Amino acid sequence: MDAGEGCALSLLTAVTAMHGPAIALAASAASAASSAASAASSAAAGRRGGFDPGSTLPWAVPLILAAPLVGYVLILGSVRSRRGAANVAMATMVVMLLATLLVGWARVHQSAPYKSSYQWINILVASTGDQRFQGFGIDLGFRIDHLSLAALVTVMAIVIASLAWHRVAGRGEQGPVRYHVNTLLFALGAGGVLVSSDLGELVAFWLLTGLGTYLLLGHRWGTEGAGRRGQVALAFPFVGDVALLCGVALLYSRFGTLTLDSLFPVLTTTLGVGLKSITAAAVLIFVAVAVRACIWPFTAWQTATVDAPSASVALAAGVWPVLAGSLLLRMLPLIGAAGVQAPRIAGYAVGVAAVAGPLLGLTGVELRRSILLASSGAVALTLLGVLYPSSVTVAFSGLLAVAAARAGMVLAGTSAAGAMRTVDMRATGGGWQRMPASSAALLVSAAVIALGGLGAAMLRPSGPAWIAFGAGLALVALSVFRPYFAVAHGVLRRRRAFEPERVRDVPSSVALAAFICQAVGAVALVAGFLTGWVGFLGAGGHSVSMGTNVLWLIAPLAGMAVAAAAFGVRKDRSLEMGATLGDLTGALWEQAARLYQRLIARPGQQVVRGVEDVAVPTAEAGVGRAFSAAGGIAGSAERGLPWVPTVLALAVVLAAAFALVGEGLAR
Amino acid sequence: MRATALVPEVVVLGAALALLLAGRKLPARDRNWLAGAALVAAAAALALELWLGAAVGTLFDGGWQQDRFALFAKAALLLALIVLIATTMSSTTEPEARDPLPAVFVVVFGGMVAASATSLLGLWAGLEVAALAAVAVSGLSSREAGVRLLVLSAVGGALFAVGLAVLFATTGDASLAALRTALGPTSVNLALALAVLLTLTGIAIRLGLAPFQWLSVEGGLSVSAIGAGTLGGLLVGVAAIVAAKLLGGLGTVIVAWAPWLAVLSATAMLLGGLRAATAASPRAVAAWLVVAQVGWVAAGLAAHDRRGSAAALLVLGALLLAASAAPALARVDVGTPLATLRRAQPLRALGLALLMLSLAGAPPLAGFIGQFAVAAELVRSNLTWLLTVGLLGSLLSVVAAVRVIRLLYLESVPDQPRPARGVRSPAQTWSAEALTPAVLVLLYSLLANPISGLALQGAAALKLP
Amino acid sequence: MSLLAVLHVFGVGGPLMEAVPTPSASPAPVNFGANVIGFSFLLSLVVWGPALMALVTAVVPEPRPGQRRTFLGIAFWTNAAVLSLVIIGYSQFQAFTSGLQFEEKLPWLPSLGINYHLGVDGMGMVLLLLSGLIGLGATLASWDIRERSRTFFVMLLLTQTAVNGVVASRDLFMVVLFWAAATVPVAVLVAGWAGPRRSAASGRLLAYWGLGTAALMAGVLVLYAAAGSSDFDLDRLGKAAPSGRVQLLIAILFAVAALTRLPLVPFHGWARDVLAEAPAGVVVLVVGSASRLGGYVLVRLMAGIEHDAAHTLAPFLGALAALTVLYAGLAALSATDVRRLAAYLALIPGGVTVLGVAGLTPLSLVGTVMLLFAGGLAAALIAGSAATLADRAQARSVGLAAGLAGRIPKLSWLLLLGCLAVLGMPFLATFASGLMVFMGSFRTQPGASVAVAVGIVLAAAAIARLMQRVAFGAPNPDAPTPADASLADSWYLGILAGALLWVGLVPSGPKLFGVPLLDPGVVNIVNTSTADLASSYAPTPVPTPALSPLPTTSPSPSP
Repeated sequence: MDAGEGCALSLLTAVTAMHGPAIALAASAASAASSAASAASSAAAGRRGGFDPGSTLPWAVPLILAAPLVGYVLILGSVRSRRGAANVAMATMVVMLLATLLVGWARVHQSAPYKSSYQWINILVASTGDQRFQGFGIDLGFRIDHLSLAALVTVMAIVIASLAWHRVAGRGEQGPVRYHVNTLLFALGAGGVLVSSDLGELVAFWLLTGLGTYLLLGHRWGTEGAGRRGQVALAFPFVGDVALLCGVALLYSRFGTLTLDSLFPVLTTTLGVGLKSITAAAVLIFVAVAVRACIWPFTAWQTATVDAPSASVALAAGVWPVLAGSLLLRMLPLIGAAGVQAPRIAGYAVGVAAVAGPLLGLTGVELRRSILLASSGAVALTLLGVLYPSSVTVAFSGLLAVAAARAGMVLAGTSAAGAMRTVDMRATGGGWQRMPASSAALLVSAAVIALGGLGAAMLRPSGPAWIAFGAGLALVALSVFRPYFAVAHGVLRRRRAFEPERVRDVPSSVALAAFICQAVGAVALVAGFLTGWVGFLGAGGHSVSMGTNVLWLIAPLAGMAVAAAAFGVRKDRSLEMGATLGDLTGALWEQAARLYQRLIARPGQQVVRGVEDVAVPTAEAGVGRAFSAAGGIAGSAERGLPWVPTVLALAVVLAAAFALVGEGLAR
Repeated sequence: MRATALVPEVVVLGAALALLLAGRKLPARDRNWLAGAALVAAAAALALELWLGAAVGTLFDGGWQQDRFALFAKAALLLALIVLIATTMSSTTEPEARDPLPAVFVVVFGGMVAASATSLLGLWAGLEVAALAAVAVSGLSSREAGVRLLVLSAVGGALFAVGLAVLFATTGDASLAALRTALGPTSVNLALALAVLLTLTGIAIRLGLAPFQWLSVEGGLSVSAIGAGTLGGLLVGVAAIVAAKLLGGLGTVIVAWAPWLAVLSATAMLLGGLRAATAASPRAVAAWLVVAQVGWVAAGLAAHDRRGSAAALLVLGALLLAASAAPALARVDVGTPLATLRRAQPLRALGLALLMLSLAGAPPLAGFIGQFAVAAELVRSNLTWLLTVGLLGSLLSVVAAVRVIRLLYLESVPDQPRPARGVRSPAQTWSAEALTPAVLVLLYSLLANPISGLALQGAAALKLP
Repeated sequence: MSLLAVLHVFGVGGPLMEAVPTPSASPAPVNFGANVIGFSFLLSLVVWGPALMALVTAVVPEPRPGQRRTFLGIAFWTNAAVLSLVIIGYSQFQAFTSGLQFEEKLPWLPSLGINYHLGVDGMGMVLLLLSGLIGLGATLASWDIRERSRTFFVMLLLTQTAVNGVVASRDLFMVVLFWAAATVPVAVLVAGWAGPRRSAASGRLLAYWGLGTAALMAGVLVLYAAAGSSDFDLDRLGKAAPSGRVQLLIAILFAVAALTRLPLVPFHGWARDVLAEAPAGVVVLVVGSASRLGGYVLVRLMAGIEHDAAHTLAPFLGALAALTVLYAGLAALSATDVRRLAAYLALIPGGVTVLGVAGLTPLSLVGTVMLLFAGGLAAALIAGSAATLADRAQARSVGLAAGLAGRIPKLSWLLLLGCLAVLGMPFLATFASGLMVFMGSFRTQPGASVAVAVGIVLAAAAIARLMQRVAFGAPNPDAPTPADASLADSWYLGILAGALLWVGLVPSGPKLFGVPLLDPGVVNIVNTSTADLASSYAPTPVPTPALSPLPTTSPSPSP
């Protein structure tokens, strides 16, 4: 079967697999489903000694979002100490996680998503015309299926790990209360994005998470660099957020609904809505996914903010890919309905990103930047896998693994960099001797990231997709192991005011925080290869049999081998080469920035100055001058003229003129 | 109709004579109460007019007519007289302000005659008496200005007389009723149109309708406050009354005078606004704002229908109140910034601000209501171009008024010792007299309903279509 | 006229009216204020209360030196009372009827066809609430006004009367009257208490607003003449159906009036100077409520009466909205003065509002009216906080007033909140309304909607720059020592921010077990008035053939 055919058909399979139940069930049916679910679980409860987890759903599900909100208000309103804020934030996240696990327990045997909703806005805007547009409503809706549960657990694990890491390693960070408040805001938004069943609600939580990201990445105040970080973190990804808003608005303007379950069934059956509109909406939403997933060419908002608190960087690097992947997963029916163009555009974009990201990761010697760029390739690979319904579940599981490992690698890397007092990989080394825990964490993270896209690659349809997968897997492995080798191997040299002998490993709690992420990542990665897990997630596609396509292992292994050869054996030369390439790309960026200033920014400023300082004042002054001059002329003329003769002359002239006119008119 | 309807005229004329005699015979120290007496006489005349004038009818074989138009016109003139006297009372201890009082009464008397006139002769007599008396009032404060104003007024009188003569020759009858019936649409010819326009020019000179505004503006600025109030207020009122009555009889010659009047009113509204916005002194601003509002009166008359003329009368009432008082309130001692009023006489400052805004047509004061009514009629009569010019003129007028308010309230005041109690500078007025016109202007807008009703009935009495 | 109204209430006005012969029959007075709550002249109190207190302020004797805040006190308690009245009216508002409520109708100038007719529907009620909040905020923001405070607060109260009057009036003469009446006091406030460029700012404001007033008056008069009506009652003129050309002329005149107030490019000349020079109280009043009247006129008069002309003008309005938001974003990006930058950002809610009107769909119109409320609060918050911040930091340049977040956190956070409100961040009132505008407008004005979205991205970049420099960047060692918000500042900004958050969180009002509590919900109140208006713009189904089934083959998306 042709690859494209496979893609389109499998997209449809994905639609049915993911939303078949939703399509089949109306809202009432959904409640019936959930009641059936609770019945089933109560049946199970008998075996479990009387406790029915299904009965907890009405409060456990809202608790997932209520907990961070309460924690947010609590810290903002009363807590003033660093320890207090950290404790409340951690407790909040643990409650959120427990609530999620409770919901998971209640839903473990239910393939149908659990749905509940609370009206936020519901009005009748018109009493005539097209029925689709007579009413408008946005619900605070919860749509929890196994995929969202897995995503929620991963996100919470990342947040908890970052909080635990920050508790000790970020002790000296300014504004501790502010930090924890912003983290909870971020967690609230992320949770909302993962459970929302209404596009309006999704946009709201998406923007809220963006706001939290901005505040977290711009957390450090008082330096130019910090300010610039904040600027990039707000302005750049906002492009993607507005794209999402436009995409959703476009969908509403065509279909008159914002609820996912009622939107997808009418995608292909609504009169007057052509492929063009659906494609435009799909592309706009995909742009939002690409920007927030931070795949190339949208990596700048994370790579330019690496000086932010490490826990914030880890949060942004780990959580956003999960949110973006989750959005992409939910929008697969839309992309499928868009026909040929949207999947093609999305496929090409992530394919290119999967190769370009790790390639750029090989340039430069800034540790955190390298980690982020290298892992962005892995994120792109898993997103590419999500686009192929044969590998939807496996790729999504891989995405969760990459996201968690990415966060863990940032935490472990910055721990090592902090102890070695540098982020320049040329100056780091000897990790295994002095910082074995951090080195091990780096190794595990690198391995998980390198293998993250493997499952998706193994399930890839035949065809040219292997170029992206093959090259991507190899390059990701190569570039993601580069920082590992740079930190863990080689010699840590003495530098000015730096004594290598004094370097000690980080406290166990800090190391543990990184290991939590790696553990979650590793579990998700391995689980992706298990049939049971694939069936549990139930998003379609099939599981990987280790026997088939095992050759795909060659790509990441080759990447690792080259990395070992280049950075393990000839570390200094390779890193010097990377530094040179980094300088080259830096110079290219500066050139691009100069061009932007010259071709866009400066002309724009000139236009504004021209209007504000020249055009408007000139026009206004012209009018003012005209009036005052007219008044002045009238005044001087009047003063200069003799009264009586002027009056007589005017009287006669006017009378004669108008008499002639009048007489003429009369005749 | 009983002759008692003439009592208000008699009171006004009697007051003029009594004031004249008292001013000559009484010793100087006993003359300070004359202004008070004049005020009482004016108030009595107004009360009598409102009481007796409500009866409609004619006297002297139809030579004198009391109708709603006459009631409105006389009441407005008498109210303006009260305002004028009230705002100049404090300065009537000086001869320049006290001696003219009899002449001021005569101006009003002329207006009352014109308001009740049924013939061209009555209109001519009323306007000429008023104009001569107004010039006399001005001449008492500045002889040189008085002479110039006399000549200018004489030119207006001559044009008016010549025009009336031609009209009389055309119709063979001096009565306005005859004029209305004798002048058919077919009888309009160049000579008649010329005559009508010359007659109206004569009125326009007294009305201060631009470009014939010298009498009210230049004249008003070169004489005392009471003279300016008389020229720019009372005389303008009398001229407007004459114009309204005469136009009522010239309906069939409308093709000749309607465009002329529309163009002149546009000129007045625009020129008045322009000059007011660029004028230097507050008195000049007030004088030019009067010119602009006279333009609105003329625009209402140009619509030449009942509602248009009623709107014109509504503006005229507001104009008379503000124009009679503004010169007195706007005068300050030479070299004294206007801002000192804010501290020395806050009520006078407030009164001046309100009068300026009313003259500019700023809401919600009397001027705005009248101008809005005129604007509505202009749209009805398809004179939208005139409305556009008028709105532009009003915009400029408001700018001018805000300039004055800024001078009053926002300029820093030089630290001067407050004048001792009882010691007043020549420009200083009593609070009550400063507030009277402001209160009346506010009441005029509050009671605009009865006033506009009366104006509409007055316009109906002009037998307009 | 209020005198007559009140006299009539007490049974004295009637005889006074009838005593005067009036040629045209005066409209039969409806049951005075027959509505849901006890006292029947709520709107008269809301409209004329401030004017009455302005008169009292003007004539009370000069207070002793120890009581310099007497006039502030009068203004504050007046506004507090007005806000309480409005809140009573709002909470009592019947959210399930679309008619006028709290109606008062009396003949005022029957001979001229002018009635004293007040009444509010949902749109008016919400705008009165906005005006009440802004009035109180503006008074608190003027806490430090000491120079010529009597005149200042008189003008402030008169402006309040004018704003409430426009919103509550149902007679177009009164609309014009109050609309014009706002011009002079605001011009005086700017001319008297603004910064060094006060003269230019006041002159510009007078010129632009005067032009708008002239346009509105002309529009009303043309409508009156075209309808051949005997009075100016909005209910009657609203049913008139002039010919196409006349409709277009009227709509253009109304649009010019509205665009000079909101303001929109190219009628924004006054805004930059006024918002950047005037004291915080005046800025809050002007940008928060006085300028929102532009949007009100656009919805109520242009879209509400001239349906065909509105359809004709919609693309132009959409283009102007897009131009305004794009230009404001670009100008804010290149501004180096904190107050001027905020002034440009404060133009954005107005632009989005007009996009909603241009959208001309039921949803976009509901969003527009909600955005009048939310945008007013957002614009007031950003312009007011920038003005206060510049005062407290004793510096206006972003180079000098830099890195303030650590030193004056309260003002910095409030400025950030204002910025986020302008961007329409979730759970602020501007989010729900902006979302409605976008979703409603995408159907009819996709190009303009996308352009506005791009403009908002530019604004986000400008905001990021502002926050980077002013709040989070490096402090300038040469800058004077800043002071954080005073108690009054915190209160006035807090009121604005609180209202934005409240409506943002519960636009439909808080509910306990599905039962509404206290607040019936701004969106529900707004919807009572817009449902009827919007129904005339309801989209009709497009009878086009169904979409062809999904392609069974598609090329591989892989590279």
